[in-house]
Amino acid sequence: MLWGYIQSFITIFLGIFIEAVPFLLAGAVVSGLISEYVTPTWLQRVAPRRPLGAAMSGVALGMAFPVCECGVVPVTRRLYKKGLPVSTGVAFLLGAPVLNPIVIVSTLSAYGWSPMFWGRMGAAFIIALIVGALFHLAEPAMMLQADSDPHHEVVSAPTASFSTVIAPSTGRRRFWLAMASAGDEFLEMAQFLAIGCFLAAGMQVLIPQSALMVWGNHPVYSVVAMMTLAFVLSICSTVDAFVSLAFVTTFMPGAVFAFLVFGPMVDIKNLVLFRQVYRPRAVAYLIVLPLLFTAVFAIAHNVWGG
Amino acid sequence: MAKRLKPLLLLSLALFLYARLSDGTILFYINHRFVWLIWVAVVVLGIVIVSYRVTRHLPSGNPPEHGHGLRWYTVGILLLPVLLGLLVPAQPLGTTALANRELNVALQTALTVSSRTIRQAVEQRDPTLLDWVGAFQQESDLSAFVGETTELTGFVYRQDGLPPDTWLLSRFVVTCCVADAIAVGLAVRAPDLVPPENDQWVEVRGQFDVEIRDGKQVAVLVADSVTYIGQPQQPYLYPR
Repeated sequence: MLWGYIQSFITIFLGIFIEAVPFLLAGAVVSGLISEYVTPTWLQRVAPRRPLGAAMSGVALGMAFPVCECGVVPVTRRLYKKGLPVSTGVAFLLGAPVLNPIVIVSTLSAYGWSPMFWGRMGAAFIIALIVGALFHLAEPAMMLQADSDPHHEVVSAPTASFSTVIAPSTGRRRFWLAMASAGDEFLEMAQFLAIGCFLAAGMQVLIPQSALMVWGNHPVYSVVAMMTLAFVLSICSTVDAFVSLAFVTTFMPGAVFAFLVFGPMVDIKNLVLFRQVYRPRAVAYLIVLPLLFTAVFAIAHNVWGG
Repeated sequence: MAKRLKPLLLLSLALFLYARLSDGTILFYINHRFVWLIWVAVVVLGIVIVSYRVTRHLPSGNPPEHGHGLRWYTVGILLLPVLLGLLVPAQPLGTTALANRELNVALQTALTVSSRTIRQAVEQRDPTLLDWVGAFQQESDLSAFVGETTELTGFVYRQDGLPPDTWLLSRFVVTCCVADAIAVGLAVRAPDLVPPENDQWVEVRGQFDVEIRDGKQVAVLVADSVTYIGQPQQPYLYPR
């Protein structure tokens, strides 16, 4: 019996890990390309400075970036190193996993042009924008880990990339440097991905889903249950719409909505990854703010909505 | 040291993924729709490994970053998936995972995910366990199914509370990876048979009957024959 549990644990652990590897790798490759091809001066010139503009550009960036929540973290981190405003990065981190083309298509094929689809996209947009703008108030040094903060790097070493310092850029050389940098980024993130998958698989084996199911029809508890489930399951945001269909008949609509909005933004797996970019206090904001906004929307819908 | 270790770590991960792809056990972990992504990942890992070789004599362009060195526990954590995969034989989810997952919820997924195609599936193609369970969920009156014959594959789950000659024929339905696995089950009544053990894969041929349990209609497959089979190459079902 015990061996059976261990066996399920290993299978679930490897399942989440294997499924996440291509996405994390995609994120790492984009991060590597950014490290070679995007210069801090350019980024600082194009990045908007006003709070809403900065957050808005983060959300817009997220819409164009077709990966799930694992792939977003390495890209955010790299962009921070190049001097991206904190608020833009936060809006990108929270918005991209829901608002990107793949998730739009998968949500559409699961729900059609329904209120659930519009609610998910609209709420993710608003939450990413507001939380991003709120981060504009914060001091970057208080929010970012030292090695994500460009101001730290200036002290320790020059930030210019190899090609600008040592040799005129040759396309091929630059490409290989970008790939090696992607490898570094992937290895560093993969260890935290493994820890996240380990925790998620452990929770899946230890917490019986039936414990959460009894709350399906309560306007508040159903939302709490589905948000807990989203956090524990750590399902890839590209397919969570299909998975959520399983709960449509047992849970109130607001609860399913909460699963679809909160899950991609915050779950065990990406929480461990967040820690590599942000300081603990910022991570706490990144959990609490989306949690509160989602819960308020969801409970309001359950109580007053259809 | 780290410079040489990094490509080796990546190589071990790439080889692990390749091994799972080549012997088909990748299907114990993810939906077949996503297998191509793992192939792409193996190729990209290969390119990254080569890049370490190509750039080994070039001075690193980016500053030596805090945390980019490898610590022993980093190596350990990164090798964990690979080692677990090598040391413990690959095994799909079975009845112990069922104990922790709501079987009823499963039935509803089956319904919603494939409702558009359920009727056709049952009528035209070889219907799977998922198709039938979905069809039963869709109909309010199951008596229309009485007498229909079918042949279904699944593993045995002897759920508590069922009559002694009845057990569940089960499958897991995987949308993305096993983290989202949901179980579907169908009661099988095999009066003249010693009930098979949990997790035994079987092929059941029989016809449907309807029983009333707790005031509700429940479909039961009355077995004409139960054949013990090996675990299929593709143990999970996928929503259509």
